[in-house]
Amino acid sequence: MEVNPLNIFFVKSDSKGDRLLFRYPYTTENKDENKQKNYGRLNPYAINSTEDLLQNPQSQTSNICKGELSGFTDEMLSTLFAVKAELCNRKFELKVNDVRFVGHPTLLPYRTNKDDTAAMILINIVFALQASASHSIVKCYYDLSKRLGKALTHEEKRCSYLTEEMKIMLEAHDQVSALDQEINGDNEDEEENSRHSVSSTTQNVDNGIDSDPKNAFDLILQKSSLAKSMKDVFEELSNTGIVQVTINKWVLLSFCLPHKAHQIHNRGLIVEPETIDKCISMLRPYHGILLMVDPNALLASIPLDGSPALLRLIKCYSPLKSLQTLAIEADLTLTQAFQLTGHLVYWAKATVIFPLCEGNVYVVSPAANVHVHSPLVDEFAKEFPGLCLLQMLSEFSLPAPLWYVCRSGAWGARGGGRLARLVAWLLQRRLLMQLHTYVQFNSPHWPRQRHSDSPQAEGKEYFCEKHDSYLSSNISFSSLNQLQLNVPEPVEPREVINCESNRHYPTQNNLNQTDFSHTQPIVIESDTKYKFEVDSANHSFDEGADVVDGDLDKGQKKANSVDSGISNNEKKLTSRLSDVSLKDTHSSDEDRFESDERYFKNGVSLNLKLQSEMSFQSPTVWTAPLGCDVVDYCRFPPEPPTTESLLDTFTPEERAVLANIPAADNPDDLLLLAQLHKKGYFRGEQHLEEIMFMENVTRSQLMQLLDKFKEVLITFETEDPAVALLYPY
Amino acid sequence: MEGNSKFYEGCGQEGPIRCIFLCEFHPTAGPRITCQVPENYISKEIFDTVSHYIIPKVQLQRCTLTVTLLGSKILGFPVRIDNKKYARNAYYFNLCFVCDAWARTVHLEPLVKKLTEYLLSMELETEWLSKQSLSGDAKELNGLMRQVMQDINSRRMCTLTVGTTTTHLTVVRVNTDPAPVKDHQVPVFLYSRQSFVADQWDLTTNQILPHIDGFNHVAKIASLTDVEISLVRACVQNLVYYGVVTLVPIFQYCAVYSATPKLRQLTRCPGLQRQCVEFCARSPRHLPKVSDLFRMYAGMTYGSTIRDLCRRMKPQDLAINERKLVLFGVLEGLIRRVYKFPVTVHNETSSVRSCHSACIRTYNGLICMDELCCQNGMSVSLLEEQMEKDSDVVFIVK
Repeated sequence: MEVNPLNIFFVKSDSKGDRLLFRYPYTTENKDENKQKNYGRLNPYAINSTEDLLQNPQSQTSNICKGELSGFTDEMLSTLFAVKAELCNRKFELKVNDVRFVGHPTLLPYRTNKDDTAAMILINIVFALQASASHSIVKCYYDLSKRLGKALTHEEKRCSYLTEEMKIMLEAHDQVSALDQEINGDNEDEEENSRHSVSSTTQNVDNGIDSDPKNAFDLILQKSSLAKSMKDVFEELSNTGIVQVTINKWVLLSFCLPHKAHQIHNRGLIVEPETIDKCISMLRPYHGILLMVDPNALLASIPLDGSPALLRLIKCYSPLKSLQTLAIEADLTLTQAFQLTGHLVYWAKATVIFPLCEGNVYVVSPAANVHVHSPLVDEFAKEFPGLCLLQMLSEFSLPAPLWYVCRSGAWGARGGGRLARLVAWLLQRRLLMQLHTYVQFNSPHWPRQRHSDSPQAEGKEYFCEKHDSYLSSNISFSSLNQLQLNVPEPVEPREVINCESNRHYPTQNNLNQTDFSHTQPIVIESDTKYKFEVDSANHSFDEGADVVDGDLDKGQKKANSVDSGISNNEKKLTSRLSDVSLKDTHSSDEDRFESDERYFKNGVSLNLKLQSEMSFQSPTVWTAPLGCDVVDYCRFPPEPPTTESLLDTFTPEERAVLANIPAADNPDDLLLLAQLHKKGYFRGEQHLEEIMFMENVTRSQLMQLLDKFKEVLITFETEDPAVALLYPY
Repeated sequence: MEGNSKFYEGCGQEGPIRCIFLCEFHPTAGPRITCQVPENYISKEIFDTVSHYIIPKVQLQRCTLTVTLLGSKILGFPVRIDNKKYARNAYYFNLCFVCDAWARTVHLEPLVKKLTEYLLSMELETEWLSKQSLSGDAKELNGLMRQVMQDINSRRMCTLTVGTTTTHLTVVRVNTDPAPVKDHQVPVFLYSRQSFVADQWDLTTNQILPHIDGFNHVAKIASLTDVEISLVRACVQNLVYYGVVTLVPIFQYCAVYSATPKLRQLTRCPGLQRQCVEFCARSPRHLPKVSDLFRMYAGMTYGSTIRDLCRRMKPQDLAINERKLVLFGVLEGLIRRVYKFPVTVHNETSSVRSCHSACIRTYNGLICMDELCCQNGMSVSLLEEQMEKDSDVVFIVK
């Protein structure tokens, strides 16, 4: 796997020269192999392969042998990694054949033995990776190297930790090399003798190995705590991708390699930090999170100095809640909630979903592993006895809202909780994917040049991207066809071209490609005087937060607690709506349900009755006035605008088309259409759930509108791009 | 320079060669640059800091070395010649290419190596290099390097002639190996066929080329051209590697497609719209409307086949060629194919039954219907009928 490190090195360079102090893993066989080669040559019957004299000697092309680094001696590596002072404290990257070395050489003052004369020493912790590892992997390793350097600098300053450890390592090296010399001396004598008989040499070699003291690195690993930490770092990187090491029992170093960490839950899923950044920048308040691990376990794993905001968020967690709800309940700003989400996703603790709700339409994700003998089948059977994963997936093969699956399947009246748990499980494994319905206003002439802020720019933007993609394909072809290559002139600051990003969204995080600042894991604390350890008492939170587990009472309680909010809002909502339009269609709740029933055939609806039954919370009826920062998101018209003014948003051609539609005779319908159109909801970018969320309209209202104006409104179903980013295809 | 610019580190794009220099180990002065094009791109200070990666120790001779520092990437292939005639009994040199730090340089590695080997053989034969460096007049070398840089940057290939020897350099894009080609997949040209130079390809490829039209699948091409199917697969895979063709799913009226988030680009980008209209038209004189095309794409979703869609929308009345519509959508990523996978589920009860009817095939969930049809030479409906009889088979659509 190219994500895994091949090796970790620790090199120092000071006035006494450079030295490779420690490496892991180290192999003891190397020497023996070399020896055997030497003996092989002594064999009188061996044919010396005559090299083709006309050819230049073949060069070495690979330095990886059976997944391990080969062909480098320690001395050679130490000279390579002991960089000149000019290159210190910046990225060090060296590629030799198919191995890439990356590190952050750190220059730090240290105390020499003779009291206070401070000298500078260079340390470099280098990781060896496969050269094919992507740039973002390399960057993460660089970051880790930098952090290790910082931690060591701090510990050196605090209690000369580095000096002590280096002393231990150097001593071990000297000790072993002294022993080695003795033995080598013996060996040389024996080799003299061995020339006479082949059999005796092999015996001698055996003896030599037996009497050989342990490898210097073995000795170091026993004695030095720093070496042990490095070993831990290497092994945790190879196993989970999440590193939690306490250096010198003082500095806690937490690091996560997302490319690897996401594979704990989903084999073969590689999530790059850049993807996460992009996903977070596209987050909207109606999105929710789905934890990949048990919330209690997660709380227990958070170090003591973890952000209290994060703890609060996890305590309120439920996959049924939108981020906005979570933010309100955890008393956070929405931006904070987004950032914490980014954090959780980065550390492979959560994924972004649309909150579970019965109106959701799920299909099997294109990359889902449906092999009969995949381990998921057994896991599923263990988790949900009596159910078969493949049969379950085949039930999701046709898109249908969740309540439909709930009715059709063998789910009893109280099966809702179980179904929710099941869907959550499937979503965690990325087996299911949600489809949303998007609406596009069918204008007589495309693309529209109106809508002030962006369409013009967008067209251009897309064209640029398009052009680029063609350019790159030209390049690939020109090698066959001798076309002209347009050499891209580099580095003029230009905006990142990003076709998927919706420009007119208010972006929370001004992210650029290279900055993961919001996903920075817990930083090394330098001032804390207490030892870090996980205190479970502090994190114990009342009666299991995992609502999905089907604690109906609790769900009920929760529902009650927020009930007042909802009912208020509903009233507000209906009154407001009656201001605007649709006075006659929706006078009471019953009406609404009836109209819902009518749309069951379409396969998308939100049935509020069933919803309470299944103890799902609607993420869609939440409105603004509870949190102050949230107000921005729910844009209400200050006063009901007049039909005339709203109709201005249509071009004359569009108005002509609209006039032919019978539904346009109803001013209320037309008003709603114009209103939504004006706000840009019919550009295929916001799905129905978002429109409902933002504009406080019910699904049935929307569905009716879509039906009435189906000549001009085109719907299409596809996945939410923000959520789909985290899927492996 | 990072951050907002289009060319940040790790963008994966290729960049031009910024500089080429030859560096050698001077018997008294140590490592130094003999010749550089353009002059002073790599300053003395920078060179000194990196020199021990450029003239490295013995073990690293003849390895491709790439070192990234101070905003540039230096590629080299250090070489040593042992001979008594040189001072210190050896001659070390390294011809290095310098690129921007953001650029991808893997494709240049073979080039550096080949050029170095060329210089090496000239040095061995006529002391071409050492003579120039001793005399301090490196005009010839300078000219050579200038030519390499210009030609590679502009044409990606270069022919060098020094004296009586000639060498050819060309940049070959390094791609990962394409996945094995399956019989039911359909190759499609990514470029117009006119721009395709047939002479560059082998005979078998030339034989199958006329049949690559975006609708024939691999097995059909094999039977049409009377070429062994494994050869066709190999040829197509080769074409995929060079980016000449791509593979799309076979067109069937019973196939299901689903719109992707990219579909909304059809509403924004005039260029894409124009292409789509021209491509999907039944006849070039009567072009379909973009809104109709969009409506067709929007109608593609789980559970509705192309047949249903055609019945509903009547594409022939809208001047739309539905085959081309689907092809365009798949190529541009506006839609994606939704495959149907039969899976045999083993229950306790069924296992008993299947014991005495072992002839029934089991399906492991890795092979989709298209592939099965192609393997068995059956139509989808026939195959489905067969599967319906077996109650253990469930269908997963994804």
